[in-house]
Amino acid sequence: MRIQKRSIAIILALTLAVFMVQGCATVQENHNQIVAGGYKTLATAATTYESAFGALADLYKAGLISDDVKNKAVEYGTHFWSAYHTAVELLASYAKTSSAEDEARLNTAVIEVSKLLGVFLEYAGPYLAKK
Amino acid sequence: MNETTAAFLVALITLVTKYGIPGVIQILQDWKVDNPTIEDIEALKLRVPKPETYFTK
Repeated sequence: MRIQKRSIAIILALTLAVFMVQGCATVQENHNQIVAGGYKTLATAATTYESAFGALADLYKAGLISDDVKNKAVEYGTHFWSAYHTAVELLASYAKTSSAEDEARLNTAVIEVSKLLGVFLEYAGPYLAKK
Repeated sequence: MNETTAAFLVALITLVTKYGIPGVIQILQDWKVDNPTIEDIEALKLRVPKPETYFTK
């Protein structure tokens, strides 16, 4: 389980690195890199969330996790859900405007998404190991 | 193969064993998108439903 969480953390860190390392590119290239990096990071987070909640739902239906565990997972998941959708909106906005203000807000939002996904996985990890 | 590539491959293999092939295929497909369109970005919204919906299916 520790390996699994560490692996997910590695993937998120890699995608975050792709997102944040921009180098010396032209303005247009820089814009394209930020949009692509943001897209990849959020898409990876979405797949991880979907897989984890799919597994938790299976465990719940099989009676292997309680209502309390399910409710807590939903609570953490809701925090992630909110941050994720905010980040997607900011990514869409930045893709259209390329404004520096949107870029800064997008950076912050993507970091928050990764952090909240990590918090959720930290909680759900031991239960997912039962699957 | 450098250290980063090796770590990435280990992570992918772990995801395959834990989450199954479909999730990993999805991640690899996402990573191939170098110029996402507005439609691609808008489609991200549909991929994360509210968590409670998973328990009501």
